Amino acid sequence: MALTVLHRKLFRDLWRIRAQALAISAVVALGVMVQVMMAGLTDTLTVTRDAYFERHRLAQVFEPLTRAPSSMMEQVNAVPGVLAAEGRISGFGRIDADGGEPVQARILSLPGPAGLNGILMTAGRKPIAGRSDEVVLLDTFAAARGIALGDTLGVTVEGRHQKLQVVGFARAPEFLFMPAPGEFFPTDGRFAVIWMERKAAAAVLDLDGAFNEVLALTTRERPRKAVLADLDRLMAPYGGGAGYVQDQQTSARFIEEELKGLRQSRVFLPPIFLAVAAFLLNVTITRIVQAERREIGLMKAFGHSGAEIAGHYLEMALMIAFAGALLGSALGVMLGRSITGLYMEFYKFPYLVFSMHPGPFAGGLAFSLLAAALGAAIALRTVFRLTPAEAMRPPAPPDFTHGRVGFLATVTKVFDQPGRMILRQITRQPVRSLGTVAGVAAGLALNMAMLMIYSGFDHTMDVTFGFADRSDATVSFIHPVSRDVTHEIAHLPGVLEAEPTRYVPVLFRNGVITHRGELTGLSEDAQLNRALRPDLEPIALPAQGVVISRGLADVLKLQPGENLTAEVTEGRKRTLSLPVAAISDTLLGAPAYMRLDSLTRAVGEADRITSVSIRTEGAPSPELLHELRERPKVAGVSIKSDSLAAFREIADEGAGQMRFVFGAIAFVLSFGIVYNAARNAFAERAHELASLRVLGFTRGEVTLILAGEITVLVACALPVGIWFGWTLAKLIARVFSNELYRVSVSFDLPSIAMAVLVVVSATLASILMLRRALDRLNMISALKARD
Amino acid sequence: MQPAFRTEALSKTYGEGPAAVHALREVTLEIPRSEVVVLLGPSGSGKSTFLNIIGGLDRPSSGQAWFGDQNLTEMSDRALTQYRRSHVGFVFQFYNLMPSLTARENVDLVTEISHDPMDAGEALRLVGLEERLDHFPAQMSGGEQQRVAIARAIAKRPAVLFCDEPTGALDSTTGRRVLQVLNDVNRELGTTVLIVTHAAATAAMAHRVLHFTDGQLRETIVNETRADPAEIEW
Repeated sequence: MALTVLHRKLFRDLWRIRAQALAISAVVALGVMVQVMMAGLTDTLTVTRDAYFERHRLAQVFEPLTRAPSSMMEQVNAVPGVLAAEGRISGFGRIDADGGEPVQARILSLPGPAGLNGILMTAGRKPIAGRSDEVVLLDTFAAARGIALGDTLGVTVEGRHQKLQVVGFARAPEFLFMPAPGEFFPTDGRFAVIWMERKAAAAVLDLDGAFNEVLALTTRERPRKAVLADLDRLMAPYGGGAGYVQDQQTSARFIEEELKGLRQSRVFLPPIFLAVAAFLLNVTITRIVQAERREIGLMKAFGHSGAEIAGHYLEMALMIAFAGALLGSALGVMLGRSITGLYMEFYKFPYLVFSMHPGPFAGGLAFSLLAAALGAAIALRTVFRLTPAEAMRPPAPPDFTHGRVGFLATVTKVFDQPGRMILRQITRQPVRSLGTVAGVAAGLALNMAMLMIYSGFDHTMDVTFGFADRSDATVSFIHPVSRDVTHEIAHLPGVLEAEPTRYVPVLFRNGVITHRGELTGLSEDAQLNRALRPDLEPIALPAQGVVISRGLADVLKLQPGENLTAEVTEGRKRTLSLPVAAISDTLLGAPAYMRLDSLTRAVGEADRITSVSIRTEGAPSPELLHELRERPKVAGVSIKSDSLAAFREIADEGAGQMRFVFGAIAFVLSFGIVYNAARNAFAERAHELASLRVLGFTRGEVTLILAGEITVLVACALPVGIWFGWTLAKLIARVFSNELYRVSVSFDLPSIAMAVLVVVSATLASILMLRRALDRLNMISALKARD
Repeated sequence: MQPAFRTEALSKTYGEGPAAVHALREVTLEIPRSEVVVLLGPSGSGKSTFLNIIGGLDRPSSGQAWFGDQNLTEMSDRALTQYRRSHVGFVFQFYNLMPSLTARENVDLVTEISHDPMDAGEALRLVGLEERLDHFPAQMSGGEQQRVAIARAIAKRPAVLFCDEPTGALDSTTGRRVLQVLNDVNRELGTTVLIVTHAAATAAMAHRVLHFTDGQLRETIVNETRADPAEIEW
């Protein structure tokens, strides 16, 4: 098909305004990029997770118990809705690495014939039948600790030391996101899983001919919760009765929470960019149509219809949007892959099912073209209205009489003539000025909100580990021990302070809402572990009742003064009714604090504790760790600085990349808007500016007049953007907060300063580019042109 | 008395090689102070190019131009800006007013950056617009807009007033009014006024008429008697 003359004009016009077109395309590209990236990320994570869970048959119902004879499995399999079931052996042991701190390890029997909670061997082999000393180790732990195939591990189980040989490494969907017991964040070197032959596991955990956890897959016909209720009833005599479904499993729940947040940002982010792009196209096309009045008149005089001519300009807008959408799709795929990679690493997915539906591309393209068409259509109304004769006459000078009366007239009196020109130019087209302000503010807000979220993360770490938990290490025990152990530990070398803690696993209930968690018992005068008020002052624990964290209060919809029901899931399984005394501002996890004495009384046990927090002189010494290793009841020691540093490393890598991405997005967005506004102002007023040069204004003075308009608009956008960003940050914090982790945001000045800096540098960059255009401005030809 | 302007072999060529356009060819002349000088000639004769160069808007390809004893051709960009700012006023065919400023403010635009300007009201009174001080360009006729442009040009008390087709966009009655104003400025303030025009009849009001053809100065006529602008017919 031969190119029509109008098409040739179109391509030449696009080339002429290429810098502006590129800036608008970039904004469109950002919207599509975010859309495609988020879609790719959520789709890939979802599909990979589903595939991983399904291939390795992650149980849909978990029923932990104390001990049940193997023969009970027959009855388990007979429960309606159970598709496949397995009774496994599960317990804890302790890995004693030479010189290092003891690490608590999960000990599991290898998957049985039904293959539930399967594992993925990443190296080596499974133990040979009958070899009770051969084990498979979680590969991420092995890598972090430098353990090789064939190495021997010293493991203490139920007080007995064992030598176990590592013959294979594996991963499992059950442990995608697993903090070590008593810790908040998963760190590779702090969480271990040892899989053993069933007989070997039964032998070390004293469970011969028995099992202590039921895993089940269910049929589609029966709801999981119903199956769970039956299993709870069936297993109650064997210490069961507190089972849970897959959604409540730590690993599965954390991923689902993350996906929920991603899906929400996928909905609200892209429209911001497309709205800005529509606005920019509207302003630019309006300006071009104004400048080409004469050409439009000519084309009409030659017999082109209004629709044909409008179509010509519409095509221009669509081509700019199309180019942006293509670029955005490509960038979105690239960025999506790279960020997906980060997620994969964080969640320890062994493989990646990269998934990219055509939907997001088609949607991104359709929405950007629609936005462009909408932006252009409003501008093109004038094309239909112009008659040829009218078009070929120069337009009357723009009317500025609005500035003669009222408030504006008073304000403008204060300024010199250039100041008045700037002010009147801004107020003459309020919609355009407001659009520029809103667009710049949106870019600023987006960046600022993200920066605030990231610094909120730092804040969470500071509050949690600087104020709430001030211990240097935590010694945990496999089974509850006497409170007197606290004194024993307090006298170990290098220990300055020691405080007992008791964790009691419970099912919290408020009406129909339930939540699996634990009650935390602290001593009356606890200093190392505290519940905090929002001003970071400690809350004194009441003699009766419970202090619950904000996260738990939100989940259970509880207020101070109301009663919290806690069904203990171990020991005598009592049901407690506890008055909520206060709500603490805890940012990590969703604890419920009680006084240790009232907690042990409530559960009907003697003064027994599950861990001791200690403060040490410097880092815990090798002598101290040696002493702790000598105590068989110690399950593990977590050293705060180590686990914190390890987690920070992973988090910073992700946050660093996202900070950069959002910084770049904010820069492009601000630059796109500011440059377009300045460029349009320049084009519309080239001859005014040339006149000023002729009248003896220097280049600097003329630049200031042109830059003044945009500077005033950006200055107006700053407070609006800061306010909007603060609101947005709070909104995002709410969306991403859950009972595992509360995103806290504060009015963080460095974040604001950084976001403002990005906008200001984008503004300066566009002013500098404009200055170059001004330097090339030809005074004579500009003056010969008509108004 | 030293002339207002003096040029020596002033030339301007656009482009190179066979495509080169010789807009001005070796023009040598003197323009005395306080005269009304009309530059006549058809389109492309070089009159506007000549005006642009001595007005400090453009640079010659070769030759020299002096304003008094200042060599314009050796001035830096900054010095040319300063020259336009201090000594020269411009009036154009299409007025070139700032639409966002009122008549008075358009004049103040210049007085704010001048050393010894006249009051904006005074300048507008000189062009007969004392009633229209606070009107925006959009509220004025073409002739009125052009008179604001003249007021703006003379408010800084320039030594020279350059007018490029000042009546080109106006009807004859309005045009005569504008020429009358230019004549008054010359008479009352002693400003040298250079008018570039197509309209040969305008020559009658000049002290001196310069005829340009093909980039060359063909003829200089000194009028013994000058016509009143009100009597000019075109």
